[in-house]
Amino acid sequence: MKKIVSLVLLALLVVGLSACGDSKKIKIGVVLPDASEERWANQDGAFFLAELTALGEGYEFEILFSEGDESKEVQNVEALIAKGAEVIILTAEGSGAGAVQAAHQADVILIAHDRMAKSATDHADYYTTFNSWNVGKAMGLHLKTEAQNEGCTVDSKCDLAIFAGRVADWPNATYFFGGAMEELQPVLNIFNIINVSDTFSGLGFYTEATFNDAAKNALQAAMLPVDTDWNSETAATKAQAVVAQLGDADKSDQPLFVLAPNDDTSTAIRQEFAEMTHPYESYYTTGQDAANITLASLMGDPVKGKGVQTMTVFKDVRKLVADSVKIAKNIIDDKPGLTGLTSGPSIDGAQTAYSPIDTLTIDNKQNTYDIIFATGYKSKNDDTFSNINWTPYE
Amino acid sequence: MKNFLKKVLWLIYKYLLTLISMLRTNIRDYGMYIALIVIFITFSIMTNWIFLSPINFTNLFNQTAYVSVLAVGMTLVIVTRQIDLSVGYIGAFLGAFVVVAVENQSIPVFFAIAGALIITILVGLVKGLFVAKIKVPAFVVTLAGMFIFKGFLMLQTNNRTIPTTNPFFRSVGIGYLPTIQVGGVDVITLGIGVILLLALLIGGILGRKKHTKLGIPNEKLELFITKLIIMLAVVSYLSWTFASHRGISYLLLITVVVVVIYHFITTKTTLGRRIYAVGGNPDAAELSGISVEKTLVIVFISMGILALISGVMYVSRLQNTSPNHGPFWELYAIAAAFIGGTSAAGGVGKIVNAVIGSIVIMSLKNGMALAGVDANIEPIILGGVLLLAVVFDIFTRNVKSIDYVGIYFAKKVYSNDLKIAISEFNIARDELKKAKKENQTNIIEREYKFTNAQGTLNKIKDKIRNSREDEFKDIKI
Repeated sequence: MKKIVSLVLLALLVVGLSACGDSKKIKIGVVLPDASEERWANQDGAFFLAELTALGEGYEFEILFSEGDESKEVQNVEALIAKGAEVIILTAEGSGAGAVQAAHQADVILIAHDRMAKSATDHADYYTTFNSWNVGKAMGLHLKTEAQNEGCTVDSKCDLAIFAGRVADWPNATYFFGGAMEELQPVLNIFNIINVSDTFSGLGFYTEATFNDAAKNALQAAMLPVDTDWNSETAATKAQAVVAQLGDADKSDQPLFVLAPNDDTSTAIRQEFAEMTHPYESYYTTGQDAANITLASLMGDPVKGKGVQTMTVFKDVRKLVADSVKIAKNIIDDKPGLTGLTSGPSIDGAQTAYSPIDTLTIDNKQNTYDIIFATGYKSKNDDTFSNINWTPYE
Repeated sequence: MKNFLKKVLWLIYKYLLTLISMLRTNIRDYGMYIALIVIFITFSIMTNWIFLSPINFTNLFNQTAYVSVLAVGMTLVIVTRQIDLSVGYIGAFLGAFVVVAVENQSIPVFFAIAGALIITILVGLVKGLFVAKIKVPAFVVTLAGMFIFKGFLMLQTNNRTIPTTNPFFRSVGIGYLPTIQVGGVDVITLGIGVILLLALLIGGILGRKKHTKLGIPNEKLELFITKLIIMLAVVSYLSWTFASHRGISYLLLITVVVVVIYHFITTKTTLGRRIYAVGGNPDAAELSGISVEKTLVIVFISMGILALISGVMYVSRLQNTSPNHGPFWELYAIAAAFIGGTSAAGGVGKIVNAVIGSIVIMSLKNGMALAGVDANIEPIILGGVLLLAVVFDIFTRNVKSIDYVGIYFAKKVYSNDLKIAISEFNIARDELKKAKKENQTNIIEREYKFTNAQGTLNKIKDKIRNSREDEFKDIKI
């Protein structure tokens, strides 16, 4: 009797497992880093599912997650190849070296999604990313325009605090900073840099086209003293030092301009400045990622004790995913991979596609509403947005 | 003619009985093979047989390599009643050490690995001494080691991913032995397969001859032939599978070499017997002149050396070293050892079975990825399998050997005795019942009779249960 029961149970298990399995041959494989991270599960993962399902027959696909484990990542790539994938879209957990080798050994095209995948001798065939240089340019342009509107001139300079991302986060942080400097550096004479001694005016003028190793070294040397480590603690500590230096200085009739590399550091920095004895009259601060607190600020809520952020760069993951899928589709259709996409300069030898970025500012609340809330990217029911009156935009 | 048919049927019946007897008797050893077969069949059905395809089978063995090597060392650690939690990060650290030495300091691979070997031997020595001499529980010593080497790993990699460029890593990680393709099949792999087949065949026959010469009883001929046929089938299938993909990878080769060496050490050398003796009963081992301290130190050093091999395999396969390497390696190795039937109570555990245990674990990971099952389910299944394996081990620990052929004969021979015993038992039981019902005065006497009858019956039953085929050589059926 016991034996029969256990046999039945075993059979049930086998059948049950077989039922949730999915054994079809595939054309496109997707490997994402971690199913337990919001970004990969609910954004990239969900968008890939939607985009690839929409392609329909002839573009069978499968999405796998690597659980933050590089060996699992290679295992996933190998599994997809064994199931017949011709193209693999990969966001690498580490350098992605093992995955590149595995894919190329089997003559499978590899698309690096958002993060470059390369080994010492080989690299992904395609790379989809946001143009980090343009992200930085958008931040710099915002500060430049607003400063000119505020009437800052060589004679009446405005205060500017400059912060950068983690220098070691190459190439992203350096590209953000370089882009911002392309806009700011020519007009630095209308600013008074308050957080560090000015090493920026002496910088050469670099554009994305003229960027080279010398530019990288010069920019990174300038970034070092204002490195926030992408960490709000570090950013706050650095801002506290400036606030302490300003002491009792009365700034209540002046605006403050802050070049902050992303929303988290931006919030931390503004928070420190807001605690001054005589705080600045107004703030112009940059950021990227469209974090909730930032969005609240952009929609007109002066978030208590957190100051005001006036712009952020929103990198729409849906557009990135759409680009990766487009390349994969082109390859299956035997077209050149970048057909119908904005190509950028080749990065690390891979053909690069740049996904469009959106600049959100406090002056165009309707735009922010349309891009973020109307599309359902964020829910306006979140507690952070409880003070905002939505009626004008709906 | 009728007689002949009868004889054939009898032979088949006898063979089946023998086979079932062997399975029942050695269920402890075969449990995980059965589990493996179930897993293989399940995933094959789930994946439209892609799971068993040459490419995936090659992948599976490459993926298993680093866990297998660790599991081999871990088996010995657990056999001696210890545990080693540090090997994951030690392996990752040593991998990083070798990569950094080769890539950043331009030290030749040989010297880099020699350096790592010295480090790992020293570390093993220290671990062993802490455990054996100072008597700090191995759990604590190696937990400390785990933290320490996580730190060393981060220092060594400077918190960055360092890619490998040296061709050494390339060949170890993703290289295959040279191949000669004939019609899409690698002749060299097939040749190695044939040599293995012959070695198994000749080795088996020579072993039987030696046993006969020394007067050690051989296992039954039917069993010997069955085992041989299964092994030959497995080897043929594996060599054909590998041959029709890319041949034999270096990862597989290293794994096999490690397993063969450790199988030899544990089954054929004094050191091996000492390790099992220390695990079975440390006090008895010490009293019989075995140095428990020395044995433990050797076991920890061997674990460290295997961690080095495992670490180098891992960085080679991933073509980089990174501060994120290391977590869970030791836990997979421990799980593999337990799934492979290594006993937590010490003294029991086979090297080859630990490798089968690692293949079970990796098949789960590989199969789930292949079948597109939600990755979150995998650890749940793995945990279930591990628990089942250990429960199975406990349940089968006291299984007595059984021979159904012997029982078959015994039932015939003792059938009269059995009949008499049963009827006497029934009579005694009925009389006892009656006496109790009617409240007779002679209840004690009846009870005495009943117990006696019961004893006689059980004796006969036991006799039948424990019968062996060779006790009935002279009986004709």
